[in-house]
Amino acid sequence: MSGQYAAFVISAYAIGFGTIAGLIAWVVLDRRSARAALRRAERASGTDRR
Amino acid sequence: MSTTSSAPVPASIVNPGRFGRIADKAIPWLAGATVVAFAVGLYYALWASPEDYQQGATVRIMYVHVPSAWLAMFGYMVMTFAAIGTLVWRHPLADVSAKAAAPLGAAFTFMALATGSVWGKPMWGAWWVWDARLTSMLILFFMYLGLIALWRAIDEPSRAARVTAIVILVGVINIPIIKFSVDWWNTLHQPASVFRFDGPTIHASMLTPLLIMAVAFMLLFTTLHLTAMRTELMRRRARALRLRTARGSA
Repeated sequence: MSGQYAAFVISAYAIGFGTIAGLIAWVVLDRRSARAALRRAERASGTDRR
Repeated sequence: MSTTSSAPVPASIVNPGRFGRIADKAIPWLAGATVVAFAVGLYYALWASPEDYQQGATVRIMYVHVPSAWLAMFGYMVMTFAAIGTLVWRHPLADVSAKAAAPLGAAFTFMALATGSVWGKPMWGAWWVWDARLTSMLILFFMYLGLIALWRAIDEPSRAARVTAIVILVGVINIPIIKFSVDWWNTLHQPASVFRFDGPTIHASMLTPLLIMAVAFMLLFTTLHLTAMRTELMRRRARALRLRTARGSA
């Protein structure tokens, strides 16, 4: 992409997809953290099904 | 929690266990469809679609700005219907849905504001103006942040669900204000050009990539929302087990 507005277009897409990447990372890490917390709680309560 | 004043809910997909099983099967397919839709959408948005005769290449910013703005409002409507589900049926999945949608809505609102700002600088000559559309979107962003903070501030989930549901229903007044702000006030922001009674005013060569990107954003939202709901259900089960363990050992 070239032209006088290229920097604005690239910046907008970088912001957009940077936000999406951050959102996906947060959802995945939050899920891992919740799963680990659930496993700890299941072990502590004696309901661990593994 | 009392349910004596609540209407019955059919025990189908709204059962948390069944919901989890269906979501686990659907999420990989939705994620795959999201990637495909973004690949096609970006091809059209960045290469196959023409530049605008007035805006030049900046029209390409519309293909990320407009879908993110639609998702910002859609996220709040999801929370609104979930809030009604919480207050009328008191179903636990309704609050789980609202709580999972809030960070997603906040992120899409931020994206709409930031990409709009980057478009505004070359076209309006300013990064920001206190225009009715921009200001009402900024208010939506702060409402999302406030609701996330409110959920975190109240420990007891059922109490947090009721309080946040009421605040969500009060705040939904901002959605028609955002939508119609360009008609009600003299705004620098252009009026609606897709969802109009007399049909879209955008040329098909630009409407096509816009709608493909909108589908991609909607698929992304659905994938992340279902995943975040599954996470919230796990967190609530862990909390219930911890409480049961603590009572058992007391």
